[in-house]
Amino acid sequence: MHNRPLALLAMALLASCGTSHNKSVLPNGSSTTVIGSPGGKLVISSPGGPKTFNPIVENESSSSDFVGLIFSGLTDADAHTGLPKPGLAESWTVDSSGKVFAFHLRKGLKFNDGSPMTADDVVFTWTKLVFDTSVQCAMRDILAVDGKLPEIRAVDQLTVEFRLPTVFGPFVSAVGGVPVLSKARLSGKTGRAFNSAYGIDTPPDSLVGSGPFKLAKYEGGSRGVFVRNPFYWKKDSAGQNLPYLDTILITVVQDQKAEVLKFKAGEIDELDVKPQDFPVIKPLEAEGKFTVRKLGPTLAQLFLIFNQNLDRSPLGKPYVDPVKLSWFRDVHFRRAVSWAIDRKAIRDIVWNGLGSEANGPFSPSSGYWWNSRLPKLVRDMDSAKAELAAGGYVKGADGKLRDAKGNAVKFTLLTNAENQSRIETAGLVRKDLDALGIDVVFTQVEFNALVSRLDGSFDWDVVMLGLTGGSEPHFGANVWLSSGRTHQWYPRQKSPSTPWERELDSLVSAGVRTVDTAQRKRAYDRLQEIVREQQPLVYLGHPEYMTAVRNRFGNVDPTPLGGALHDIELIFVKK
Amino acid sequence: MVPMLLGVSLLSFLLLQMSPGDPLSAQRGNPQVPDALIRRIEAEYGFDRPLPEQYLRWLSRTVRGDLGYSFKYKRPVADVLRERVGATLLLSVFSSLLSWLLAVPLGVWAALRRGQWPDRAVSLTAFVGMSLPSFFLALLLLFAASVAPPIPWFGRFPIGGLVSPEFDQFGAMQRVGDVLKHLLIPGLVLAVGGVAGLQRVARGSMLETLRQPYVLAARARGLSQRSVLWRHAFRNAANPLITLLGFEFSALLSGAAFTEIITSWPGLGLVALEAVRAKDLFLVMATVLMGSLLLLAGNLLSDILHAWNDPRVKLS
Repeated sequence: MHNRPLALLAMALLASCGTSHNKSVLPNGSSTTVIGSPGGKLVISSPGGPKTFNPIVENESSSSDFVGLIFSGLTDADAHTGLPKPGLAESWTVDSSGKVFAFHLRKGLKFNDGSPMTADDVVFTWTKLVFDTSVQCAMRDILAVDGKLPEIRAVDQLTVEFRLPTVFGPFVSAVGGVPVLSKARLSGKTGRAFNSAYGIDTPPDSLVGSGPFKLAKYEGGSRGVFVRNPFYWKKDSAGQNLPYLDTILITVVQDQKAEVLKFKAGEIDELDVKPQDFPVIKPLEAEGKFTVRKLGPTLAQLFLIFNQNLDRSPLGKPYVDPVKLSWFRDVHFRRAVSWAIDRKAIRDIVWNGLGSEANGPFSPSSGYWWNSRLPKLVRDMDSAKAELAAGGYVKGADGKLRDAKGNAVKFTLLTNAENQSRIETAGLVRKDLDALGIDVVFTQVEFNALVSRLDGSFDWDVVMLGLTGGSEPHFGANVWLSSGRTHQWYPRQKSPSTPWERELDSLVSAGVRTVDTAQRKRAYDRLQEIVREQQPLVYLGHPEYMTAVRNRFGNVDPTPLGGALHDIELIFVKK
Repeated sequence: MVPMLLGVSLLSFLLLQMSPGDPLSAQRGNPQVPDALIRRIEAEYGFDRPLPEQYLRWLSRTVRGDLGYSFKYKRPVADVLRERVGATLLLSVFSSLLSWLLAVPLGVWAALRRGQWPDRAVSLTAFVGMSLPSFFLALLLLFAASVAPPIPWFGRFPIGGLVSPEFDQFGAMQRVGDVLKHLLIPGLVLAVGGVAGLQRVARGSMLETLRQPYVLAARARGLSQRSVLWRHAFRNAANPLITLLGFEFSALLSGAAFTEIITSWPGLGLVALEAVRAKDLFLVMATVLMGSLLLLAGNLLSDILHAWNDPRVKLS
């Protein structure tokens, strides 16, 4: 029962301040956008409801969806490519050094209380909130270089200048993740007090932002009412003020099955359709006056990790049994496992045939940065056997695989118990590896316990895990950097333990130390190639992203990256 | 009472700390959260201090009435609980009333008709009710509600939640009706579970007292059936029920988690469950403490009721 909240437990909760607000996008005059008419309401559900409305403090994705309605940043993310586009800033420039950015605010911007927004508010947000060490914001630590922070100043009322200590490629995207807050409203609430400012019990009038909607009422764990922000800057091409909708109602539905029932009964207008619910929902399209759209792979990645940790515990004992370590650090072994896995079966059995095989570390839906030249990973037993032979592994007459020293290959596969589809997938993986003669023992633990093994005791062989990323690859750099905490196969290395990890390190650096997007793309393309060659993570596939929205709403253009209702200010009720 | 609370709090604190993981697990697993931020948060909450110091800090704050800060909700624990207590109390008081009002008369009736069809029918229903898991019954009822046609004067059954989306436009009477309408399914689910058990206890206890010589004596003296039943037999049969009532009291705030989750009831159940999952230390401690306090209060209440109902028991 209860799948949605657990899906949130999937490792990366997209939402440290920095990438969370990629839901609203400019009216970009794309061919699908039509002119709507004002009025009407939209009812959506949320699995847990927001936990806080604070847009700066580190936070989980159940909150950031709602934060994105109330607040907005200087730039926005395009829902198709993930690349930054103008938001509160109509344009920006960067100097030849790549370190000095100037953002030009639109004229006449107002907060939702009617007060004007100027460059001072931007400077205040960054210097007094984001950069304050007692405020729990990841962006500060992401941008700090040897303790040096960017310098920010207001050049004039409409221009803000950032001087970075070093080149930071995704800076324009990063800026979009930090909404502009009101200096007048918050100057008394800086420092530690800001961490608990804008909680869910804040009087709605004090939640001063510049997003398309503002909060009218929120009852914890139950429902929220958002109404049109009359001071929102965006207009449609006919000059009408946006947003079109008067009201957005949020109703909290914790159980996923109850959510499906609510959608069937017409109580909510949008549903993220899970593969197991698709056969139930799809036939009701005409009767329920909605459309189910299949939009390609989700951003969620599911993969196996081998423990390649060479370190010893404080007691001098190796974290990983040296025999197992020799397999896990052997690229032939990892490749053999990858070739042997029947990803099509995972798609067909676990995801009802609604999904696709992975080709590498990024999802095909992650937009611009995905390396489309890599072929899909499909089962190939001949290649698997060839790799095993190359690594000196022999399958004996008893059907058991032995390494060159005669040790039978046997390991424990661990995943988190809350996630039913991972448990099903693990069963299939076990069966596939059995065909190679590998004995897999499957164990489940609580998510918390899993993380403490990955990041504390390092006591594990092979783990199945998921990660949901955004588009901007640098925000996932912690996975690729050999010194990273979430470089799960061997975290926190003092220096890279293999040549290919050294190359990953330099590619991450190449990807961030230039503002040239094409140059950055080349670095990340190469990164994806290496990960595919070396298989430190064996990618298993993505379920299909599907959403059902009632037909009476116009300008609905869902994407896996932007969600079902991005461009929410453009969505209208058809007359 | 105080030593018991101290013991409970120390034990749950230790268990929480010894089990793997900590409140920052989600952050540790997230590639987008830098190490430096995690260290800053640890220092902020004192998670980097030795265990005894952490416990004593928590204790001294709690004694002063400060329940601490919920890491997950980014607000004081007391605020998180206060917001949810109302809905949970409404639901558990409603379902308790419903189950007691149904179970006690049914139990007495079944006892009087022992072995006859009313007894068998009530027992059968009780066993079915006992063996039906509450989350499954809740899902069944929600499903029935989603396919049921609108009922005149009532409209459609709501699929979970506390109020309708249009609640703000309703008048006062309509609001009360709306909440009652939403209360029906979760209240019924909880009551069914309660009725089954209570009814069995009431029946058994009643049967036992009906066999006592003083009941025969009362009948022999020509007292009316009603007087024998309610004034003599039932008062004695009620003692085990009163003890149960004390326990029920302790479950007022925690007994409904599964039903709350399935029917999207914004109560404490989900908060407590999420808190344990996320190891939101201070929130878990507060819910544990609240449960223990209610258990103690429930015991006290049943003692007082015993004294009132049973002249042999004296409060000293």
